[in-house]
Amino acid sequence: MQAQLTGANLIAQSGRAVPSVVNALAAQPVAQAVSGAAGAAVPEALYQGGETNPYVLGASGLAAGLGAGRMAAGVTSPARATTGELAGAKRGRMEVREQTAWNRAYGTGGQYDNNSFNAFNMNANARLRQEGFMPGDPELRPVERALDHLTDAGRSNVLDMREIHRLRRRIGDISTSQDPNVRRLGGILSDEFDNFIRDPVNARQGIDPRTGVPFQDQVARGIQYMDRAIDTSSRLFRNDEIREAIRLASVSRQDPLGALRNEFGKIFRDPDRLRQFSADDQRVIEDLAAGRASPRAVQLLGSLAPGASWSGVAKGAVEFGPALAAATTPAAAVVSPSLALGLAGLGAGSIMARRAQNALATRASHNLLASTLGGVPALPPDYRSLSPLLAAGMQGVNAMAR
Amino acid sequence: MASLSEKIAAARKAGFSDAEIQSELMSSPKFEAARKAGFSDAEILSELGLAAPKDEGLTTERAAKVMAGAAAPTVAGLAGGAALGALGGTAIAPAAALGAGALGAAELVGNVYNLGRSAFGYEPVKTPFQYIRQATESAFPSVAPQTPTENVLRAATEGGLGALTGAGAAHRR
Repeated sequence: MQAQLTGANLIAQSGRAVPSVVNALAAQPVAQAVSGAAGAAVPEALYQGGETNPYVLGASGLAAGLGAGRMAAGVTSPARATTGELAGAKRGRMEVREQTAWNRAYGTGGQYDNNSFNAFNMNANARLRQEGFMPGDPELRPVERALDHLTDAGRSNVLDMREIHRLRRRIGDISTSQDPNVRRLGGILSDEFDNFIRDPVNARQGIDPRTGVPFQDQVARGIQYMDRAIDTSSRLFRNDEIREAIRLASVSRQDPLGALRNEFGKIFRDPDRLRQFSADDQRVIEDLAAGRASPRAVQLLGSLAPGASWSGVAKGAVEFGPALAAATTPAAAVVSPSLALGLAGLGAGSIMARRAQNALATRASHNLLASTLGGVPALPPDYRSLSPLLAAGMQGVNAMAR
Repeated sequence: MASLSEKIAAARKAGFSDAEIQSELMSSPKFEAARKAGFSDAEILSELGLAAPKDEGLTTERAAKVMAGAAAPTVAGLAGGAALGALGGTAIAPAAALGAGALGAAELVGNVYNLGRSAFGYEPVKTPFQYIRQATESAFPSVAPQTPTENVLRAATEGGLGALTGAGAAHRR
């Protein structure tokens, strides 16, 4: 039964792969045709000129097809908006939405009671001490300053919605601190503050003389707008985390897979940062941190790809060395042509798998970026570099099979 | 049994031009075997007493003929798929595309086999494109490439069209 299920799964997976392959082939017909034509014509021209070495013919077909295909892809296909770019546009709209919600909250005229706020300050202070905060600790100075700020505001300021927003931003500054301990305490203070402002019981008593409406009713209306603003701002905060990880990965010397694994590993290993995300987002972060954003077979094959490290260079030498030697010296004197071909094929396959891993990891990170904003359409993988590679690879095989 | 030279002489007497005889010879298995042995087209033709065709540039007329011949495998795949689609009562266009893709895939499988078969001492197989090409050139000898430039043009045409079917086109003779 298990075998049948496995077989059925395999067939189902193969069936699902067909549209992907068709998409890849249909993605860029002009580039694909140019790639195929060049990949076939160049080895033929070499053959007509007297070149008969199958390795030279195969390599020339691959190189010409790939080069021509990439050039044609660059000319015929203007850069398409990526999920990341769409997420950037949506982020701009959400920032406007957040400020609009706050503006509406200001407009309600709601005010909080200073005595209630002072009581909140005392409770928050006690809670932070339970969590390890010590006044005078130089490493926790930002937390102490934020608490002082809240205390001053409770004593002397009118706690209208605008002031509440200003204080919330002040707390937000420490909850995004680089110091993990400050960030943890900032997160606790932020949660306590949000609990306070979301409770209409904490509103100022009495009636607003300008509107004739009780402050409590105005605060209740203001809370609805603040909830919307806070929800949007927490999405933007999570989006900031992912965006920063992607930005740091993009300037890394590592390839995208390794760089994303490194950056998302930092988030995954920090429970305070990780808990801000939904369960689904946490799973994607874990996959990216473990380099698992692609099917297992692709991961295995990709692990054999040559690279810039010592082990990567050794893999390249083992995989491509025999074929390169055979192209320059009589094949029989070096190693079996079939073995050389098989190793080179393995090497080429591992490079393609590594590229696929890079593309899938990048796509997963962009989709996660979109997911933190809620509802940005996820785009299919970008096949711009893959489809000429397919055509060129096939022409390389054809040229060698002469 | 008459030798190849005697056959060529007989063909000349029967009124065939040297170009037509060359075209027929260049698609024969013996000619291919000689190529595989490392002889150039000019050397083989010279040995048979035929002058190698001069590569005097490509005329529009010749280019059109060679390209039409090179398109034959893809057209055959499209037509075969469309015919099967019509018989099966499915949409014609996807069936035609599927036919061309399947033929291209079969070609690729044949080429991969031919690439690896030497390790096991097996004989090379004739690929679908080779069958179609030979049939086309037998029926319409003028579409066969005569010069190196025409060979490159045929390869480029087959490669470009074949790439669109997803499996690439072989440019083996």
